[in-house]
Amino acid sequence: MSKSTEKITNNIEMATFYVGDALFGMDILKVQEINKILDMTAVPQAPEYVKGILNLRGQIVTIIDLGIKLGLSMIEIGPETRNIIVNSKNEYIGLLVDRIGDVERTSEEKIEAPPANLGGVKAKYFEGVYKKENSLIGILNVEKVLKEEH
Amino acid sequence: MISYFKEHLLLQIMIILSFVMSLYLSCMLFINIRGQHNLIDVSSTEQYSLLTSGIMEKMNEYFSTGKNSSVREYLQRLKKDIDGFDILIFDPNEKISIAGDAGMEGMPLSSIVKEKSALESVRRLLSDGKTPFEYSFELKEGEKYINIFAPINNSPGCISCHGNTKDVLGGVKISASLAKPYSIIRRINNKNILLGVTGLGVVIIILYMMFQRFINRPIKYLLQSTSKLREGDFTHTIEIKGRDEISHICARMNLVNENLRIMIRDVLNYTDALASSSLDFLKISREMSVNSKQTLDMVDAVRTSSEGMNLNIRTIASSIEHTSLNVTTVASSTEEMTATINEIAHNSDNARTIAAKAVSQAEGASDNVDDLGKAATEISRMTEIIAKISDQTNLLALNATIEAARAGEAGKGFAVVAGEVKNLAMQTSEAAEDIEKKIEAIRLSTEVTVMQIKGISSVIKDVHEIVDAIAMAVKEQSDTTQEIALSVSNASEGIKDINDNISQTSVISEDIAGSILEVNGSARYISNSSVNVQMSAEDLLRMTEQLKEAVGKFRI
Repeated sequence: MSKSTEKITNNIEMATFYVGDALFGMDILKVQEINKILDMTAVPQAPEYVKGILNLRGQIVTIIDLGIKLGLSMIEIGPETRNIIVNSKNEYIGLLVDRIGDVERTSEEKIEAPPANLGGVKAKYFEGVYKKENSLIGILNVEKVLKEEH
Repeated sequence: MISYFKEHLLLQIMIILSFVMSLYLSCMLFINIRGQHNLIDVSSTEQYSLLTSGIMEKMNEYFSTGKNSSVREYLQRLKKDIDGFDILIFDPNEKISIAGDAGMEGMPLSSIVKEKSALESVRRLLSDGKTPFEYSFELKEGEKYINIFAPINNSPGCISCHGNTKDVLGGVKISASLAKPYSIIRRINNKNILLGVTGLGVVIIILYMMFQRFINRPIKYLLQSTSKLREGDFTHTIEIKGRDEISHICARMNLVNENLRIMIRDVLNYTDALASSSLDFLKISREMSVNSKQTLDMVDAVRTSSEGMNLNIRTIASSIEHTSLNVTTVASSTEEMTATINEIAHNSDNARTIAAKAVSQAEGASDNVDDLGKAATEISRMTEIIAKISDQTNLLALNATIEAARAGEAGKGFAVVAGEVKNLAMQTSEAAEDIEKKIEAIRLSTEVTVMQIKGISSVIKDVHEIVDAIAMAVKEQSDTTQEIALSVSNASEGIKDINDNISQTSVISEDIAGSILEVNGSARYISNSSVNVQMSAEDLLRMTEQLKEAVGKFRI
């Protein structure tokens, strides 16, 4: 945690998570909270990626399977499954992920433009990619992901 | 051709019979014809001599008249009237004086009469004049003629012309043909011959047929039957007709055939039996040969053994003396053993108590280890709780970080604290995992230990039981040892008896050795004989097979 004490200008913080084996990231400011509340209510007639809705301290949260949404495999509920609550257009959306990673801090100049296809996901969902020493983090544009209908 | 006759009895008999009968017939005919001819000759001689004397009377009448011409006429008349008749008168000089045929007059008598005997009889007749007449026969142109010569005696009526100087004045010759009676006889004879030959033929044919019917046919049957017999076919039976001797022979033949058939069948059956018996015999003799060989070997072995035995008995005798000494030693040893066994009994009692203690201690250890296992399980549960707490803490720290980020510059310090909390949670999680692993290992080893202790426990129980058994056994041993001590002293006395017996045995075994030598000789003889027997059995089998083959050719 010594890195966090450095002087930070134009720095961004990312919350990282896994869908399948692929490592993704998103701006930490988009994240409302991360929990493992999974007792959701199924919504009839909803698209496949909508797993249901849940009541989070009086707020209604729509739970979306990020795996299906990104065109990857479905999230299988397990002990490490996490629910990332994001605020999109004054609406709470819960994104189901397979596993949560660390919070990454970096500067904007280290973010690179995404390739056309990253791990089977179209480039338009990404804001960019960040190369770590031995892994590649795809930074998701949450608004675009949620906007896009199948 | 000759052999064909020789082979056919009928032909032989028929030829002989025909020959004999023909001979008989011809003899009969010959004698008959001869007799008839004689009869004709004799009767015609009588007849013509009578005729001659009649003619002479008539002639004398003519002569007495002195007219020779009337005599000539008379003669000519006679010749003419009687067929085949001729008459002439000749003078003492045998010259024909008057004849029926005028041309002959003046010719000598010898020109007509050729036979010398006839001429001689004419001369005799002329010389004495006492012979009433002479006759002869002659053949002229195939016909038989009789000639009667009669003398013309000088009778009183003649003296007037001829004087009485001569007794005989000449002779008369009458010649008559015998053709007629002969031809009649010939005809009769021809009929007779024809009848005889025909009868002979008929008789021969009847004989032939009878022979054929009664003898030849049955003989042919017999011949067939016997030829079949010769081929070995006994199935043929002769059909019997009639009750004659040949039929009897045929019947006997059938009986003989039947008997032979039965006999051959029996022979065949016996041959089969004999074949199998001889095969068995061969097998047995082979076995016997082998066995006798073995016997010989065995007897040899026994012989060597008995020799060995003799030696051994001597060795035993010396050994027994040695044994006698040893038994004494054993007696003292037994006493020592008794003492030792008592000690063992004491020790085995101690071992029993120790084993019982070990069992109870092992059971205690097992309980303790079980408790240890349970405690480990408890610890495991607690570490799971710790892990959950650390997980929750981690999530909490993450959310704190998010909150800090949202707070911006003011949340910086809080972010640091959240990071520290997160690290702590991570360390806790790792520690909990370590503990979990170690507790798992403890649990596994306690299980193993429990099992091992159970094993030890059962082993100790076994030891306990064994020690019990040993204690019992030792007790028995103690009793037995005392009995042994008693037995040993008895044995000592027994050994003395044995020693005596063995010296007797030695003598007997030498006798046995001698007997075995004799047995050896006998066995060798048996072995040789059995080889001969085997050879004989093989010969027998071969002969049986030949017999079988020979008899098998018969059809029964």
